[in-house]
Amino acid sequence: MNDGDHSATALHPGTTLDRDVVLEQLFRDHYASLVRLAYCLIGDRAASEDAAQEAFVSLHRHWEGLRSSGAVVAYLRRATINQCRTTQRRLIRGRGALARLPSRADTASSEDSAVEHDELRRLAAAIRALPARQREVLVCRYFLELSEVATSEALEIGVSSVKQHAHRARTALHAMMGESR
Amino acid sequence: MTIDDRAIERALTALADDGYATSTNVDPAYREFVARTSRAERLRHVTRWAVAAVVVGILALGGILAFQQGGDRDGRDRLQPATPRPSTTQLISPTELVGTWLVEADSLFGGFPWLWTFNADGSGSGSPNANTTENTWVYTLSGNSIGARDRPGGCAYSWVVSRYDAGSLTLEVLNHCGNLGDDITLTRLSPASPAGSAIAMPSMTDATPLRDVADAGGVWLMRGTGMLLAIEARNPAFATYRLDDQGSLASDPVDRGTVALDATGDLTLVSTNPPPHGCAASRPGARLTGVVVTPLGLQARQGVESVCIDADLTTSWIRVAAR
Repeated sequence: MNDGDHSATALHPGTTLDRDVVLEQLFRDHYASLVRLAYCLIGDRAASEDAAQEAFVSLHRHWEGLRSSGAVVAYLRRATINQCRTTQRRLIRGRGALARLPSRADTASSEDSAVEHDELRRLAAAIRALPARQREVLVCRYFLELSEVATSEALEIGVSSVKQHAHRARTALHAMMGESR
Repeated sequence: MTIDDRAIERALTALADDGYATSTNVDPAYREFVARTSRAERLRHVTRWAVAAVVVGILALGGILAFQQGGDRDGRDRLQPATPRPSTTQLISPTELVGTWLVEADSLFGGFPWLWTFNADGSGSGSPNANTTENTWVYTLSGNSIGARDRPGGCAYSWVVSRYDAGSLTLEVLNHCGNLGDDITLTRLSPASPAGSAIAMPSMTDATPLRDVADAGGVWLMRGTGMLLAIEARNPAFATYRLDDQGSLASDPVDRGTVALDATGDLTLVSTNPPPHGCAASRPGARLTGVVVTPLGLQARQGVESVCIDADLTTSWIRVAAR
């Protein structure tokens, strides 16, 4: 999922276009990427779809209060992340979430790619095992490709915290991948 | 495999592909969104009408009462308009709120109990497991309103105390991280309260001997008391415990240390806290012998020996949080 702030749609709430028309276009442009974002955070498809849905419902409710097109996508992301935090508390047993990660059915065509594929799966599982805040930082930085400043705004934490969590996450990943060999 | 930025990107993309392909048709999802917004709009309209009706009702009732009061007097006093009642009595004091609570709210937590701790300094924490500081927040109690915010940043919460009696607290949910939900029921476990002390010991009929320290992981309430024992056993080779009956299990437990399980099912708490509550050196502080467990209960069938931990431990423990 890319930054997404540069949608072709006239996004900003102050547009003369009808709210529902703009919302439909926004939904079609961004729903899938928000579900994917949520899935990276909570690993449950139904809950991820619900989180993205609720982000759009929240946008619908607060439409009048938004000021710019950039703010709309940022708002959707923040709302999705917040929904995921709530959902995570509902799902509980966060450590059991790894077990819910589906195993991919597709198989690699060569031994090398199979090994590489397996390594990526292990790395993805290790990311899912990180503490929530570290995982959120990695998802913002490497999945959404946000800058440190944009990540701090999306997660509503300081830039120094972003750096700290990213550092700890990478250290933990190295440890987990090393230990599991 | 080198864990560079590109590897993390690819791993996350693979993970997202597992959950939702970008090519998925969004039409059904959009129809669901339209239905949700319609429901939300209807709910808002109903709520507005309900609030308006309640306000009109209150004003009308106030007017009638004022009229009756005026009529009871002999006409020398001028009829006064009805005035709102002063704010209601605070149902729970800040001191009573401080402590560790068992939280039950099916609609918000998926039916799993959580432990929340409110500290005297306005901080708090909560989790559904032995890692009792997994989520931290700051809170304020003003009248019967409790506001909280996750730290750092994160969700905001707003509840109203609707009932408090002998350690049993009911909160009406105004905003739970952007959600509404049913009332939340809390029972204060520590410091001890009548409601917490009354929690019944579950049946131990199907209990099995404790053979894996991980099965003792979680938070346990000593039956009939406010004593909590949190055993963190995600790494069975280095299980730790915290022991507290002062409401500060999360931040400053009375005692802490490591946990060892031997082949006969004896669970030993090795205190690393100094006296007066802990032991002078790292040595067995307490031993629970012949331990048996069920998913909900733990029992030391051959007794408990407190060697140097300053706590009168007994044999029966009730699970109040998962491992």
